[in-house]
Amino acid sequence: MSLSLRAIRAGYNEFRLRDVSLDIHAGSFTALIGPNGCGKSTLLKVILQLLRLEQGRITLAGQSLAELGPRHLARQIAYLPQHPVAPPGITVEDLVSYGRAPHQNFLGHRSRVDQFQINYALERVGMATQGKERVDQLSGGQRQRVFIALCLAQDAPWILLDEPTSFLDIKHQYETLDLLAELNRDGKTCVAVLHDIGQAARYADCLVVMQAGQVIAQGNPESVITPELMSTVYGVDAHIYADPVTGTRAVALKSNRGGVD
Amino acid sequence: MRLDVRIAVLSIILIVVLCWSLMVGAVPLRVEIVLNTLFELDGPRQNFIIMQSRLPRSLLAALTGGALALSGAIVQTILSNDLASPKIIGINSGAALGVITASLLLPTLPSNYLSLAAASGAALAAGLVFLLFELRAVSPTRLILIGVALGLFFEAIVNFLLIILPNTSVSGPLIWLSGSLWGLGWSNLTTIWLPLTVLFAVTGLLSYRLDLLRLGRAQAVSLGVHVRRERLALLTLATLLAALSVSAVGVMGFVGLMAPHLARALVGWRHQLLLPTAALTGAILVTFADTVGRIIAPPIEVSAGILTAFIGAPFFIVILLRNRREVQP
Repeated sequence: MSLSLRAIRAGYNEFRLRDVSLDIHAGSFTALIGPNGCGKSTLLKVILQLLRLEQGRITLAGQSLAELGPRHLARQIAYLPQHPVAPPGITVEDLVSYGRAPHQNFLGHRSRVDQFQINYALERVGMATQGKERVDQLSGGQRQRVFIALCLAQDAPWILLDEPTSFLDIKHQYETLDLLAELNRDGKTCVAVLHDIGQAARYADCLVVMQAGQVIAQGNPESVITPELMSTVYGVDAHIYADPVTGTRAVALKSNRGGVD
Repeated sequence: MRLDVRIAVLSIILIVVLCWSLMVGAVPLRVEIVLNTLFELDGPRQNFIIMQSRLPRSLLAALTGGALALSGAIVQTILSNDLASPKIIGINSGAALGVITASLLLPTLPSNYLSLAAASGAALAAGLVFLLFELRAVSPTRLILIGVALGLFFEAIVNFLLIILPNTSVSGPLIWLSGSLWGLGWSNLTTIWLPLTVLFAVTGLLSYRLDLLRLGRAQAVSLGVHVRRERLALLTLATLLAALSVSAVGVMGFVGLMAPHLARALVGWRHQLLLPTAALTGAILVTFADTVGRIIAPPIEVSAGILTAFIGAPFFIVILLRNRREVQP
């Protein structure tokens, strides 16, 4: 049961993912890292069929995603966009309830199973008592948890997240990542675009490094995060050390060589 | 579905405005006469003015107002654009072009076919806007500008046709182009009420899909919505709603823009409430405008469309000024 990308070509404007082949294993916490504009978000959009595939093939457990159709795809993979939209005035529970759409008929009738999943999702992210509050009046961290609850209500084994920690302060960044790690332990496969390499190494068990539309490294954080990689991908002279708290890989810069990005 | 208080209040306002519209005009009638006539309290003796002139006219006003409002609500949601409306993206002008072309080139065409001509013209405009939106991914504001330009282009063709074609009376089409209910009666109502009722029902059934599309393309796709297909279906629905209204009462400006905005301010954005509220608001607006137009400067009638534009154009400018943040398509 894994998500396989084979010789993917896709993109928009001038940008292209070029010949991306990749296997993401079910049950993993995979982080996509790389400099700005390297194609991390594009990769997620291609998997979700938000962007048309020009070449290549994506399969989930052997089945082609293109043939799966949007509804069945939505039952397998949930997605948190980088800038999710909350219509003005919507309540937490109403927003989360839309996660049930792939399981409902076109009238959106809410069954008992639906209500159970919605309550479960709210509880899981610690928003059970705030179901009636308005999303536009929540803090950034709470908002993010509501959108994760939306993904949970969808009850899909995979969750793809596009920079879930950007625009959050440091406390809420770690809170969000802790929540994802918990969900991962309970069996969800998490694939997240992350900016902070230290956070990626700390939370993910698999890193995918991208540069200029290509995957240039994949593996566990210990094998992937090296001074050589930091130099080729980010153009920085880095010292890699063990995080004093977790023992995972962390990065400190010696100096910026500049002009390489 | 529980009956919402706000919808109940709007329904009462609509009934009051409808009654008022039956009372006023060249011959003022007292409310007892109106009620006696409507409910046959005096036996079958009917008041000719009410039954043959004012009642069908007011019902048409309410029906087309509701249709334009629904059309506007749909267009605003699927284009993720608060500035959109069937008039502003050129659908109404397209419908007008269809009707004028058909009635000038084929003067013997039965009036039933005018709806068809309106729908073709409207579909032309909507199709162009949709292609631009889906294929070129233009920004919301540019889409509006393109729609406005398209509308002006269609209007230019209409004016051109009116000028060059000989032996046609221009005053009829001109009154119609300004959105007037003058002289309309039961026959006009019977042509459009059934198709409009069906379209109302279909729109109501799709309110949950509209909710999902309102979350934006990325979110909707990831929730299993076939976005392009559903947008196209809903745009077709909006086009038909607008075209049927235009074929009956002409180009009624800004109702499709104002009514959904007022409705959102009243009940929020969930379409299960928003759609009926917008339809009621649109119905009230057009019935009110038509009635005011009848009594504002007697014996001359001011077209309802002129009055809706009179309120609507400043309204549009206010939204433009408030709408600083652009919504992503």
